[in-house]
Amino acid sequence: MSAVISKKLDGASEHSGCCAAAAPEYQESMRRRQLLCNWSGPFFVVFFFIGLVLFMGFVPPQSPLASSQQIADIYLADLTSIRIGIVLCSYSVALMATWGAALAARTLRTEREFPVYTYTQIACVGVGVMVAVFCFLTWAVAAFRPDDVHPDITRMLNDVGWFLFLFDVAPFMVWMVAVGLAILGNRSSHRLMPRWVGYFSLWCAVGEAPAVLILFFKDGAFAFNGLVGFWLPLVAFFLWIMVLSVVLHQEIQRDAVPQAMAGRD
Amino acid sequence: MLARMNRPSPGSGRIELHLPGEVGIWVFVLGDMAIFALFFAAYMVDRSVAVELYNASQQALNRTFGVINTLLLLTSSLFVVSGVSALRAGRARVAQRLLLGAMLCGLGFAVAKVVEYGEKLGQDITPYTNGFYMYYFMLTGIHFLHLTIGMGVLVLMFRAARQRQVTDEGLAFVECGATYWHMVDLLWIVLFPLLYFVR
Repeated sequence: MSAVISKKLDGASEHSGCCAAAAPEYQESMRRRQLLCNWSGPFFVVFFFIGLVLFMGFVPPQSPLASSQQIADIYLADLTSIRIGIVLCSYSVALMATWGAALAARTLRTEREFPVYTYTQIACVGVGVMVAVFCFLTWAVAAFRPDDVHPDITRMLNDVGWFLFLFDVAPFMVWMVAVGLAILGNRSSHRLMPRWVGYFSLWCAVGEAPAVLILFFKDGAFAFNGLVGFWLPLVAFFLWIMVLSVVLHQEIQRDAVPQAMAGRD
Repeated sequence: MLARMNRPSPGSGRIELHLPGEVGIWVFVLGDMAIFALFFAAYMVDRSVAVELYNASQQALNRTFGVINTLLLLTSSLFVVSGVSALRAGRARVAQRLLLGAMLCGLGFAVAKVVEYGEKLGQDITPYTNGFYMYYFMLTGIHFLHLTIGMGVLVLMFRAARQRQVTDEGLAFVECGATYWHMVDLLWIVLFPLLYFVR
């Protein structure tokens, strides 16, 4: 039975008009699967901020000028809460993979033969998840035995965590640019997303860019607790996830309309 | 150019509003200008707590460079405006020459900026010298990055103007690119008095 369906589908995907010929059950399962993966985006954002803000208390970040003892004291004061927050964040960032897949699957449809922007996204989201998991792993080690090690070590691990959080924006920028170019360059017969989303993605990539400046300053707007070093990249990234989640949701639902009608026939 | 261009639509007395390029580019342009507005706000706030220091440091800036650069960018914008209208009128050859002029102005800006940075660094003034110079180097540096991207965009616009048949799509791209270039110009027009003149 399933072999018959898949055979049918292979045939359907051959011609670009697509989909109308596929079985309604399959279409519905594809729609649900995409919606589920797309919802992982907002879930990631919500749980990430619950962990980072409410449990870890890392927003706003500590000052890069803080002494080792001050940093160690921050960990020691709320150790359990910080640990719970780290675990929450560490789990939630993995959802970037499923959300990234929902996004990449949409662009794949528009570049079947040479899916270069899709491959770029997959590579970047893979690296992105790894970097994000490492970020919280580093803070986890800092929160492992801050009572037993020299405060300098705790501060260094804390710094490494912030650098993993902010400094390595490049793969995320490339991810955003790949999505933006896929949208703006779409000449296939398939819808992808409204063109403004393409420009919006490029803008978010620009907003991420100044995070690398945290390497050069320990004070002011460009430091890792500053307006340009921290807040701008943070807002650009999470705004991107949220806006694209909404648009993606609408696009997935729009796919369903002709299918529902086809189902009725 | 930045404003809507009014064009009578053929066959009717009504005026059709024409937004250069496409609506989407304005998401990028306004978004990017919002980021710069944030930079400017941060600068003004930090400046307000150390006015003396900022004013004293400002004295050391070479305004000649600033004025030359402003003139260069304004001229380049003029070239781009004329280039786009020439292309719209079907005079691709003229458009190419005008875009080339814009690129030369942009290049001039880049050279002047590098010389200016060199002069500062020669006097041992770096982004770490004080808060004012941090903003001076960072804001002009980020603007420089925008200019570099803009130079790339101008090259692509030039290529679009060299197509044997300029399509609607090509024209829309040229208009989007022009909009971006004007933004680079506009940001400098705000950046320049803010860093060189605000007292």
